Amino acid sequence: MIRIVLFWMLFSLTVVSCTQHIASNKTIIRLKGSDTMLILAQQLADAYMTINPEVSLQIEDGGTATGFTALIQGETDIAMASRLINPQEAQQMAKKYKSIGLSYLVAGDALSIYLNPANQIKTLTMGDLDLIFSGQIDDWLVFTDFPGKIVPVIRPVTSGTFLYFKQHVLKGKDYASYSREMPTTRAVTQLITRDKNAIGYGGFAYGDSVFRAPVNGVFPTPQNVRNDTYPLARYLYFYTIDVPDQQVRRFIDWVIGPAGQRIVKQVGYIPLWD
Amino acid sequence: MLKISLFSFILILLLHTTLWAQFQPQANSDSLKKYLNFLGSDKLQGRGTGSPGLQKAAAFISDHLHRWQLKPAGDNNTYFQHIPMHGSLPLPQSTLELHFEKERIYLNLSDDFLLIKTGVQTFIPKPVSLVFAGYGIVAPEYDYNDYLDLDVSNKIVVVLDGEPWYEDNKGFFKGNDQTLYALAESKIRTAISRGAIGTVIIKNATEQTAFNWQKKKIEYSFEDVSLPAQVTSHLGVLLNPDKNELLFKNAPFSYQQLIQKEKEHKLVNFDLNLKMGFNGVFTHRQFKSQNVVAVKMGMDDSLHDSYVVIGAHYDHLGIGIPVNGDSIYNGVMDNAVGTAVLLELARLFSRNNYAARRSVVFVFFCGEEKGLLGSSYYTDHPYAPLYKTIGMVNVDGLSAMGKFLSIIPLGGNYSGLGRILEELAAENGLKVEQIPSNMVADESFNRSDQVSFAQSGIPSILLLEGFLYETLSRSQALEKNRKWFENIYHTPFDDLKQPLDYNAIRRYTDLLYAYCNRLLNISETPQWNENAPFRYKFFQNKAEKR
Ligand SMILES: [Zn+2]
Repeated sequence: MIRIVLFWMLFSLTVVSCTQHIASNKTIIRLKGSDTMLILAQQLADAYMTINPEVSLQIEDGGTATGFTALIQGETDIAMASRLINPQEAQQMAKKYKSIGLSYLVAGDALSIYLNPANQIKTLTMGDLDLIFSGQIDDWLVFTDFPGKIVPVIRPVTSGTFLYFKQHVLKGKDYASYSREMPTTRAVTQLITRDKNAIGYGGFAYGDSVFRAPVNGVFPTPQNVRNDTYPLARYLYFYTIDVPDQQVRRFIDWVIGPAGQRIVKQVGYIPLWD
Repeated sequence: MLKISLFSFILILLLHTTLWAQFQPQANSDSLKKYLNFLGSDKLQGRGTGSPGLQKAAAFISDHLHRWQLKPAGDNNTYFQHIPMHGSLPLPQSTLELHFEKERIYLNLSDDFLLIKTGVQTFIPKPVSLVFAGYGIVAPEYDYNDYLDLDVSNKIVVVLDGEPWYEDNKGFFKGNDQTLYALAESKIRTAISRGAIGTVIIKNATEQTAFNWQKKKIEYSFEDVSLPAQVTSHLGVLLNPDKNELLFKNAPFSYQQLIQKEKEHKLVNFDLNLKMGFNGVFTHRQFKSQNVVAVKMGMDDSLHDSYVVIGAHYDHLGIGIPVNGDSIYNGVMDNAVGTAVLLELARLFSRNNYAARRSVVFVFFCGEEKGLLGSSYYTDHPYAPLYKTIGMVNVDGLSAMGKFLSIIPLGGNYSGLGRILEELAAENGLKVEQIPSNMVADESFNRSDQVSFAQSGIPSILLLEGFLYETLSRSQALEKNRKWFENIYHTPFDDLKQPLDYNAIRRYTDLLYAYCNRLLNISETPQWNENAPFRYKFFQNKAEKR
């Protein structure tokens, strides 16, 4: 016997939603949201469609907030999210569906600080990052022997990573007004490889072309995320409105299962269930 | 002539044996004792979900299933159905900050507050306004709404524990019986759906024992475990009543005034003129636990593709806060005993000379104490499709106080499973009784794995021993039961040192054997009753062939 009654059971009176679209005998599962998760989702989709030719997965980025909006509008089956649903989004979903959504832990990520490999900086503290991205320090001379106006590169407000960084590093403060905003994580790394004064952030998996700086002296590696020493470790999620129907559930089960988690690892994120 | 009379003689004999063989001694007390002494021992460290002790229990169970040549029904032809889980535990350095105009007061985890369903994802970087919202309930069927004209988005709500209660009007909500609305989890869900960031639950006017802080501390000291699909970022707080006055220091009413208003049923919503911040430090992990599943296929051409599930949870709480120097929560009655009963049933049904018409699936659930995780995972990933599963019989907790003469079928009123049980009981001189109304909260149908099956459309039942005994009066039996819940339930004292009547456990096992045997052999499929809330799901499964 348990003392408390289950979280999932309460108000689960909503009938399972049937969000599938049958076109030419193919089941279409739509995923939309986090740009951080784009390459992961694409590779998961490729592998899944190879073994399940009757299923077609459609992946679209645009940021976590865009994913949640699409989920609430009924325009996607799964929202990809690099943060949890926020109170306003939960409220909207509850209003429309009488459900506060289901989140699935899909992977772990070491949210990485990207630097140009030519930058003299070899490590930064959480405090440094706060000062740099909030604009309280605007020249590399503070940290190195070489002057240079710092170019913080950020993501748009629809990005889950934008919000995560703002909350966890800037403690809710605004980004520096002169920050450069890039639509995708790819664009962030491209700008940083061109500009040695640029500094940005994003999923670990995107950082191969740049230097991923240690934070508080700890490198962003899977091991350091697992042992809880890297300070910017986070989860990546799938969201559905309610218990999804069979095809969507089968896909999510597969992602959480051994085959999906192997791909998580290949892409550069951290498998949660080995 | 002779042939015919011999035939009728055999027929009479057969009828007679089928009637009375139902509830004859089958189970073996020594086997039950052996299982229970292992599963309930300190070696297994209380069988916490995600602990090595639970793995040992799983190995013990699967060894026996293998020995009895039952067919594995878990993953990849093994007995184990692996379940991904997420565990989280707040560390003592977690604090709540109360931001008054001129000062900041820090509250400490465990002594001052406890966290409900709150983990590493919960993050409140800037302090947030607190607003009082009655009981935090929105219940359209009682025309009751604490959130009427109240905007709580991006705020933390402070709500009273429990639900509205009128001494003179017992029809409101459910009078003395609690509804689901009274649960902390319901209040949190409601707050989330209204856009709140957090929920603080405080003691109400009527509560005395329910807010025993020492007990609450123990209850919330265990790792919070969920399936990967159940993580929220909401801050859920249970506040030590000692801190209530402090919380209302700047509010238009003091806590005492508020409680007076509650008694007069004149609650209003208001701002507490206070902000709250939260700085949580957690350990968290991902791991896999497992249900243990086996099947014995039926022999009847038309019925072998229909299934009866017999289940019992084999997990308990694990290691926790020591009480009188004992930190192992053995969970002998909750539910090593049910596990032993299920093992013995598996042995009986696996015998070579036994054949049933239907197939029987034995499921040993993990994660029950963490919120029915094993059973809800099983119903999401069943061995046999749900629409082919005709019923589920759960074993969770025995009294083992002596020779019981009555039984209580929890959930029997919802489906044909109840009627079939009543027939069996009548044939065997057992009385069927309803659960005493003052125990409804303790032993409700919602509190164990059978409800996961009911929610998935499968008629399910949990048999409890009743309160009629050969050697105990009804009031003695009730008093013993009450005391057990008060002093033993979910404490380290639910261990092998408590008195156990193995003959009673054997008698219970025999009854369950007879009952399951009947379910496995009758042609009738138990149906949901018209009034059962789970009925629609059954039809949905059938339509979708789930
Ligand atoms: Zn229990």
